[in-house]
Amino acid sequence: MSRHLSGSFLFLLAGLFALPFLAIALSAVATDWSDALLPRHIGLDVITSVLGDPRFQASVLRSLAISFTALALSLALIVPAIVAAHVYWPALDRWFARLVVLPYAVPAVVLVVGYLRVFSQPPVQINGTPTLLALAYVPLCFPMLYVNVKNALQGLAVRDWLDAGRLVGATDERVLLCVVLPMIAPAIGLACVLNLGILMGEFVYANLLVGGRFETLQIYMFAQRSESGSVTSVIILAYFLTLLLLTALAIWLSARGGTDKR
Amino acid sequence: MNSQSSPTPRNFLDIDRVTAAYGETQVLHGVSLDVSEGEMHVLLGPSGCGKTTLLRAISGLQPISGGTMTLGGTRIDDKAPDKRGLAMVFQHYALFPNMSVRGNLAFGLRGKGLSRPQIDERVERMLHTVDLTARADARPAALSGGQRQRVALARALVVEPRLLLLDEPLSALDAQIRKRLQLELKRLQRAAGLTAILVTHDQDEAMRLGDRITLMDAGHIAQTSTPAEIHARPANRFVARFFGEANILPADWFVPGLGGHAVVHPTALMPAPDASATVFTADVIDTEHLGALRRVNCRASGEEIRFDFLPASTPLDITPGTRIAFGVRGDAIHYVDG
Ligand SMILES: Nc1ncnc2c1ncn2[C@@H]1O[C@H](COP(=O)(O)OP(=O)(O)OP(=O)(O)O)[C@@H](O)[C@H]1O
Ligand SMILES: [Mg+2]
Repeated sequence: MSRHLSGSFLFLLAGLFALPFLAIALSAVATDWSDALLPRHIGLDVITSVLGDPRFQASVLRSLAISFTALALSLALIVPAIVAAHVYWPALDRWFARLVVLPYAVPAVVLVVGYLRVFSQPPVQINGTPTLLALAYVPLCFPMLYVNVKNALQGLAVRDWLDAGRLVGATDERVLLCVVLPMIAPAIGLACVLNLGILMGEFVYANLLVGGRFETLQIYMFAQRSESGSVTSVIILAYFLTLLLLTALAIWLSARGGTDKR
Repeated sequence: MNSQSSPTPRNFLDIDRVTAAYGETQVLHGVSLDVSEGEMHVLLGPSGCGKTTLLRAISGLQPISGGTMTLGGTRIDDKAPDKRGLAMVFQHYALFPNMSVRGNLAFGLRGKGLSRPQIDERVERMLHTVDLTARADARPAALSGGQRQRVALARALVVEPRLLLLDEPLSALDAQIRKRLQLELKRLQRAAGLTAILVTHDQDEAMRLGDRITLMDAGHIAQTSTPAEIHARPANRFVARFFGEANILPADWFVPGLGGHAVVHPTALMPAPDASATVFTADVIDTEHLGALRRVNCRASGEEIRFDFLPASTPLDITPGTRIAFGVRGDAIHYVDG
């Protein structure tokens, strides 16, 4: 009985959450929706026109390029550092955990103003360039990577594996690459997906650092806010579906990581 | 059951006054130990006494701060771990979870100048030896505890080490399977003529497996002897205490005026048939069943006394509060200093 009740309650809740999404979806396909509760005509022309808009496509590509560049850089920088600290310098690890959350702890505006100052003069004069945006995104990826990779490492007998390797003449690098990396790969994948979601939706940095000079998805969306409601709805819908896909990927990855461990 | 084989003239493994420390804390205080070829040498001692550290020092995973070690006549303490010709089974196995059983075995053989077929051949042979051919493609996570243990053993043996180091290899298993694997391990070691050092917490395991036993105490060697010898003639009170439940009584109960202590095993006490054979009397506190044996806990002049007898062949009517007169045969008493 109570199971039944909680079941229907969950459904109600899900419906409630889905409502705005449905409304947006509806608005995206509505061609005439002015004086009634529901639109008179529906059609896919707005969707095709937005998706076909070269400006929209270019903004998606720019966002993807920036996100993947930042992600790749942060991976190369932080994953070896996390593993090395975990295995060789456990005493430093506490400081690592504190440092790595700084991008979350310091308000974005403060950071951005700092960046603008530093990069407005030589030796590194890159203000307003996408390079600066990509670089500014790199530390944003650290916390998610740190938490996920560290969690994965915690359950692994890395020291024992290194010892077992040393006894048969395998270098630490070989053991780290052949054993440790595959074991933490699902966690890295999960962190990447989550970071991608964050970066694709990032607006404050993009707006302040590059603005209209390098139109990312979010800046494009912002610029389109005065267009018809349908156009905005389509963009939001596309963005939302992409995030949904990424989330599904993240859940799948974390489930895989869970089964691999034991 | 245990062979009383005398050590060969030249020791196979010779550890001479080895010291080791973690930072400021000295953990091994000049440990000397020798192991003969084909011997199963058991290292026993309380938790934290340095057994793992000694194994790691022998393997080269733990640097030593003094002393020398030779294996088969050559110095090894200045060699890298993989150049010492030994292998180790870790307490928690340290298997590579992302590799199959076969992959785990093959890992240590790669990069040793062996061809692919040679590696495969050795891996298959070893899988057969430990009876894991059917599970060769399974990941460690899909194996039972006992099977994982055998994989760990196989991974150590497949590199054909001259010396096998085992750090509590069976401690993670339940009693039933542990007994079976003890037997298997012993057979395998005998059949292959392996020289091995096995660390354990469990004195029964030590007695059952060891050709000789070394008992460690806080970074020192307390005694090295055969199982029978270390049980019957402990070198000091620490050793006597460690091995089971021997009674450690003031020596002058047996020899008036003698200092030190007398070690008397619970089975060595005899209810005295007449007054002339009586050494002391004790009051029964309670009795317990130890399988075929009956344990009687008593007290005499402030000392706890444990007395075991076989009710099947020696029917005795003992209840709490009874007073028993005990005698002991002179050759069943072992005296220790201190
Ligand atoms: N990495 C380390 N750093 C500092 N001290 C250590 C380290 N490893 C061990 N020790 C200390 O060295 C001593 C010996 O440790 P060791 O692991 O050799 O004991 P053990 O006899 O194997 O114990 P157990 O039976 O519990 O496995 C202990 O007091 C332990 O606290
Ligand atoms: Mg230990």
